[in-house]
Amino acid sequence: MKLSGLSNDDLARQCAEDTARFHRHQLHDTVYCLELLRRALADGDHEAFARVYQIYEPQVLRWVYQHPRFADTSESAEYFANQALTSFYFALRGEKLARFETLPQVLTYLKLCVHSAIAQYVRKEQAVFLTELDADTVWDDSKAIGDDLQAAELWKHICELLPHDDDRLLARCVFVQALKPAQIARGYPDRWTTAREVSVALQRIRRHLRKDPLLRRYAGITTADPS
Amino acid sequence: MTCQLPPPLSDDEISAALAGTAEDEVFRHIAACPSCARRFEAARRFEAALSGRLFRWECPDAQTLSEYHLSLLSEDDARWVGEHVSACASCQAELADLVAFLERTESEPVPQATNNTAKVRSLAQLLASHAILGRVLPSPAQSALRGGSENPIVVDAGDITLFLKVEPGAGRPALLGQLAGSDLAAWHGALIQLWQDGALRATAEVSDLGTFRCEGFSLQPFELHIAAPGGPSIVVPEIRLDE
Repeated sequence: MKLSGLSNDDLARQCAEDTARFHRHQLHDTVYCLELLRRALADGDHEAFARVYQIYEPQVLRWVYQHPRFADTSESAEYFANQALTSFYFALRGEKLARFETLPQVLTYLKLCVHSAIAQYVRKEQAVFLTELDADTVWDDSKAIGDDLQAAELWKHICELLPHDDDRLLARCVFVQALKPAQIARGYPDRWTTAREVSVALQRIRRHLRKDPLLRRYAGITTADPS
Repeated sequence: MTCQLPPPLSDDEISAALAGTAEDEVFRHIAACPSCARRFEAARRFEAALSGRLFRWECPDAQTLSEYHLSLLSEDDARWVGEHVSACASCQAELADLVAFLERTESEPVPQATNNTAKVRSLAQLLASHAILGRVLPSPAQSALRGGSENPIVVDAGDITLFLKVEPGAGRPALLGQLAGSDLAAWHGALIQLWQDGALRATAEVSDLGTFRCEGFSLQPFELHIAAPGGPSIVVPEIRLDE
């Protein structure tokens, strides 16, 4: 029987069996799964996508558990599985599926979506960690003035305050990449030989930046504050 | 306010304390002197404000970075990402994670219990801290046909209002939905997920008019998740329909 003549239920049953055979290292076919994926993503058949989700969710969960950064997160594996399958849908729907010719290629992309979901989450957690303040910290009302300052504008302003390449590089390492002095010294041995040397240069840069009125306003530091 | 333990800490000592590299004496000074503690806190706030806005601001998002690794980007994007990666330790580390992850074989055992491996099967629980929580509004005729043709269910989800109706069918009901709100364009193409008993039962896509139609589920309480292509999502915990 031609694949096009099979119902979604038939395709899903065959695909689930082939997937189970694959996990048992037995001979398996890939045409049914590929056709189900094609209907789900290229044709926009939502019944087929629900079947794809049901068949591959257990595999996606296994990948989440295997990911080297999953244990560093505070979310459930099911959360990342849902994120990954949702991204997979958005990334490959319509004509985009045509970039992949074989089932292993499509599933490698699905695995990539698992990585992306976890990696993006870890980035957000790191950003939150960097901005954590004590509960009793009092923010000055003037912070609102700088709230709309976009990252690009803020960085441009910092570059204007730091005309030397080495200083800009250090500011980038610290504020953009959150690197520690020892990591910076290791990464740029031609510029700084020790972590101590990096720390001294950073003290000078921080001293300079903290004096800038725009940055002070942006950070919500009052003029009266002596720091 | 003046320093209680003169001389006051220098700017560099404050910076060293922030970096965690200051002498013990500096930390004792901060603990005992309200004036220098205030300066330290202001410096920390300054650092947090800058880092919070600038952290990895130039980096491609994780999906783009991963697609770069698989050579799926256009020539221009690949060139830009490649140049960025060559100078970005964070992206290099993320790519190293990806390479290691993709190389793991299927036969490797799944790592055992970590703190976050407890099974969560309620979609609302799953997405609670990441999605807008939709709230079913009380209906004047709640005791009658909820969601039936007479009384659509109305869900309040922040800037979006969602109207749900069930279209009776011979053992195959359909859920009809309509999103309404000022920024409807953001929800065009959103993926609808209908969950029952902890499993996905049906999916659909939001049309350019904000409508959707979902089939292939039974008339039992269900959860609804609407994920927009750009990231925001809505989760409605428990919806009950009657034909």
